[in-house]
Amino acid sequence: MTLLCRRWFVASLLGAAVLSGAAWLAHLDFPRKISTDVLDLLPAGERSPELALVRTLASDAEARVMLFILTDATGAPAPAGAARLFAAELARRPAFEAALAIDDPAPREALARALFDRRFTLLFPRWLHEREAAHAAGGGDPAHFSAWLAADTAAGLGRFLAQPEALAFQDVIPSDPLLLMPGLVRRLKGGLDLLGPDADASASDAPTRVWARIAVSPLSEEGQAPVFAAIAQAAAATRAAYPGFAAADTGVNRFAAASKARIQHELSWLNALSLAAVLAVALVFIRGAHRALHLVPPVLVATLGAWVGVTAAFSRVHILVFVIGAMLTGVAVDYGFYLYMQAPAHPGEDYWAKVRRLKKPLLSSCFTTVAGFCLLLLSELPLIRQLGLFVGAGLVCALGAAVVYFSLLGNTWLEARPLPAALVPPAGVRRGTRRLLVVLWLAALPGLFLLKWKDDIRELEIPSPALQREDARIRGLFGDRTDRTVYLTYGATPGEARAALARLDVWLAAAGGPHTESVNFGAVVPTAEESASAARFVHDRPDFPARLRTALDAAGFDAAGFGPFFEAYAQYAAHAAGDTLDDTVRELHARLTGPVSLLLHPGPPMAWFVTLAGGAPSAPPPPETQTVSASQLQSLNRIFGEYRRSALRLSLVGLAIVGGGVFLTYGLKDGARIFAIPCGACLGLFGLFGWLGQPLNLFHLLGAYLGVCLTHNYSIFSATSAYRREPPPVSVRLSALCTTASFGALALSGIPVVHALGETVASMVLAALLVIEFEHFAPLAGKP
Amino acid sequence: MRRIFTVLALALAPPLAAADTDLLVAPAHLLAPDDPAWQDLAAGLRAQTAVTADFTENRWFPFKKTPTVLTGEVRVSAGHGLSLHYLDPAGQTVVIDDRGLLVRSASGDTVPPADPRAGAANAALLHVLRFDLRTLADTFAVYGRRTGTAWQLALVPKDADLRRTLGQVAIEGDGTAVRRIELRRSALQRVEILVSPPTSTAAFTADELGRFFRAP
Repeated sequence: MTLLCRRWFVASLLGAAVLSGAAWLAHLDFPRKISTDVLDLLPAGERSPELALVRTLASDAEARVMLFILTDATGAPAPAGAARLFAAELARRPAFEAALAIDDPAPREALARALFDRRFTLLFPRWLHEREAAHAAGGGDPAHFSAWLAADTAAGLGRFLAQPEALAFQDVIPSDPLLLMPGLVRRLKGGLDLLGPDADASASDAPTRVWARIAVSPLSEEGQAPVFAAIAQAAAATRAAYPGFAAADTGVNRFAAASKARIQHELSWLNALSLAAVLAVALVFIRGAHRALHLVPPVLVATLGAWVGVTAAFSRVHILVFVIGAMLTGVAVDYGFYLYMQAPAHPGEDYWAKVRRLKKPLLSSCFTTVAGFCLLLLSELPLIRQLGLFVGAGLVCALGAAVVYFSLLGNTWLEARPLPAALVPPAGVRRGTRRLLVVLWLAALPGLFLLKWKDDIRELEIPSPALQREDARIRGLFGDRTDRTVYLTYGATPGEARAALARLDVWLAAAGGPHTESVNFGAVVPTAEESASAARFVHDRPDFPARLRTALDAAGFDAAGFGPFFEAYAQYAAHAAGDTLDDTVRELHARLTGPVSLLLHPGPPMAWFVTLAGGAPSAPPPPETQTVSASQLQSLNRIFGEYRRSALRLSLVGLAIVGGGVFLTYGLKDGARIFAIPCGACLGLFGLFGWLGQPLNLFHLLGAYLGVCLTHNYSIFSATSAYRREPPPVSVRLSALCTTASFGALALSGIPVVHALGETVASMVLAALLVIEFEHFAPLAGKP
Repeated sequence: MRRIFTVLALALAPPLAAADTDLLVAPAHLLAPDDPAWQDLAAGLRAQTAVTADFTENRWFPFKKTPTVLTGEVRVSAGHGLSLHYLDPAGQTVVIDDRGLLVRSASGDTVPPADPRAGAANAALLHVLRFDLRTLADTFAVYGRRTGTAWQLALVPKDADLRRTLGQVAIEGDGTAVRRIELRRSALQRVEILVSPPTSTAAFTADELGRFFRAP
C-alpha cells in the first residue's frame, strides 16, 4: 500500500467513524435522553424502599404542586373572586391537573360531605374502639357493653349540646348522635394549625392563595414551558376581569427550569473556556502555533466518542455528566501531546514506526486511566457510572483518533519551545524547593484528621438566590413551618400503611414531649383491626339500635328525631365487612382535592400516610413504624452520604490495584517513589482542605480519583525519563498544565460539585507537576 | 365541614329578635339605613365602649324535648368585639371580632378555617353591635320598631343560602341595653340569649382583654 493510499484509507476510516457517531447523535431524542432531574442521579433499582417512596412522592405528588400568591393593582391581596377565577382558568388548561383557591370553602365542604357519607366505614370503627377501651377501663362487663354504650352515647350527646360547637353540628346530629363528625374535628383540632395559616385567612390583610397541581412532572419539558405559558394565559384572563391582577408563584418546575438554563449555559462556556485554556497553554509552549490546532481534532473525536458511548449505554443520561465530562478535554489532549511532540528517533523515521516505538507508554498510560474510570462502572450511583463510561470511552477514542489523525499529517513532530534559561532555577534552589514541598506536605498531613464531609444533594443544583427567596416568601404565606417535621409512613397496602401509622402515633406519643402535636389521616382512617371489630359489633350486637333509642328517650331526647341515623346504621350493619378498608381508603382519596390530597396515597405501588408533627422527637422513628422522617432533602442527603462512602471504598480498591502494579513493576523502593506522587498529592491536598475547614463531598472524592490516575501517568513517564538521565518529558509538563488549565476552568463553575471537582483535580495535578519539575525522580538516574 | 363552622359562627351571633318577630318582619317596619328615628339609639349604643352583663342561653333542638340551658358573662367591646364566656357548663369562651371567630378553652385557642359566609355573618354581627344600619343593609333586610325606650330589630338575610343557614336574627333592647337576642331557624330550632342588665360599663382592664378577647 502506498503512502497516499494508506492516508486515504486512514482518512476514510476516521471519517466513517465520525460520520457514524454524528448520525447516532442526530437520531437521538435529546429532551428524552438528557435528564435534568436531580433524582435521576440516584439509582432506579433502590437499595432501600424509602428511596423508592421518596422518589415516587417527589415525582408524582409533592413536586407537581405550584403555589400562587395573588395581588391586585395596589399590591394588596386580590379579592376572593379573582382567586376563584384564576384557579378555574388554571384548572381548565391541560397543563394543570387541579387548581383551587385556598380560601374557597367548596373543596373542604366536599371533603366534609365525603367523610360524612362514609362516617360508618371510616369513623365508626375508631369511635367504637375508644368506647370499648373506656368501658374496659371502667371495669365494665363485656356482656353489658351494648347497654352501657347506648346510655353513654345519650349522656355524651347531652353534654355535647351544651358546648359552643354544638350549634355548628345541629343539622347533622339527627344523622350522627354518636358524634362521629364532632369527634373527628376534636381529634384534628390540635393538628389543624400544622396544615397552614388558615387561622388568619379571614383577616383583611390575609394573602390570597391558590394551590395547583400540574399534570406532568415538573422536571420534564412539558412540566415547564407549557405550564408557564398556561399561568401567563390564566393571569391574563383574570386580569381582564380584575385589572391590575398579578400572580406570584413557586414550584419545583421554576427551579428545574432555572437550573437547566444555567447548566446549559455552563455546559457551553465551560467547554469553550476549557478548550481555550488548553490551546493557550499549547501556544505558549509549542513552536508553530497554528500547528498546535492539530491537537483539536483528536479531542473533538474523543468528545464525540464519549457522547456516543454514554448515550448508547444508558437510556437516560444526566446533563451533569456532560458538564463534568469537560474534564475529558484536559485528559484527551495528553495523547496528542505525547505522540505529536516526540521527536523522531532518527531523521526520516516513519510515523507508524514512531507509533510502534511509543505504543508501550501510550497504551499503559491510556489503559491505566481507562481502567480506573471503568472501575467507576461498578458504582451504584448512576452519575458516577455514566461519568466513568463517558471518560473511559472518550479516552479510548482520543488515543485511537490521535494515532490515526497524526498519520495524515506530513510533519508528525510538533517541536516544543525550550524553556528560557532564566526560568530554570539552579540546582540549589530546586533542592531547597523540593525540601520545602516535603515540609509543607508533612505540615498538611495532620489536616486529614480535620476533614469534614458535607453530603448535600443541593450542591448538585446551581444556587438561585432570587428564586429561593421568592419560594421561601410564598411558602411562608402558605404556612410552611420550619419547626414542622414531615413523616412518611408506608406499606404495600393502605391497611399495612395504616397499621404502621398506628405504631408511629404510639411512638410519637411516647417519644415526643408535652408540646408534640401531629395531624394525619389516622384521625379519619381506622386500622384494619378496628374496621373488622366494628363489623363484628354490628353483626353480634343487633340490640344496640333499640337500646340507643331507649337511652335517648330516657335522656330527654326525641328518639324519632334520629331517624336518619338509625336508617344509615341499618344499612351499614347490613353490609359491614371487615376487609374493605383498602377500597374505602381509595374511594376517600379519590374525593380529596387540594393540599390535603397529599396527606394520603393509596398506591400502587406503595401506600403512604403523611404525618405533620410539631415539636417532634429529634430521634428518627424506629424501623417498625415503617416511617421515614421525610424531609426529602434529609433522606437524599443521607443516601448521598452512603454513596460517597461507597465511592471511597471503590476508589481505595482502584488505588490499591494501581499501586500494586507499580510496586510489581518497579520494585518496592522505586515503586514507592513513583507512587508517592499520586498518593502524596492526594493526601497533601486533602490535608490542606482539612486545615482550611473546607467541607468535602462526593465530588472532591471523584476529583481525587481522577487526579490520582493522571498524576500516576505523569509519574511513570517522568520516572522512565529519569532512568535515561533525561529531564521530565515536555509532554508531561504540557499535559499537566493543560489539565490544570481545563480543570481550573471547571473550578470557576457556579455548580458547587463541578467547582469541587475542578479545584481538586487542578490542585493535585499542579502539585504533582511541581514535585516532578523539582526533580523528585533524580535519584532514579542511571538505574536500569 | 366548613358549613359546620359557618353555622357555628352564625349561631353564636348575638343580636336577635323578639317573640313576635313574624309580626315585625313586615314592609311597614322596614328600616331605611339612615332612618333619623333610630339615630339617637345608634349613637347611644356606639357611645358604650365596654359592657359586661350576665346572660342565659337557651338552645332548642328539634330532636330534644327540653332546651339546653347555658349561662355566662357577655362582654362587648367597641374595639375588641364580642366575648361570650360560659360559666355553666364552664370552660369555654367564644370571641367574635373583626378577625373572625375564636373559641378559647383550657387546651388553647381554636380558630375555625376561614369561610367567606362565616366571615360575612361575623361582620354582620359586629355591625349590629355598633348599630351600623347602613352596612347591615347590604346583607340584611332590617326591620325595626320602638315603643318608648323599648325597641326591637329583626334582620332577614337577603341571600337565600345565608337565610337558610342563619334564619332570622332578632334583637330586643331597652334604651342602650340589649336584652334579648334570638337566632331563629324554626320554632323547634332556635337559640335565645337573655341578657341581664349590665353589671359594668367600665373600660376593660388589660387582664380582662387578655382573658376574654383575642390577643392583638
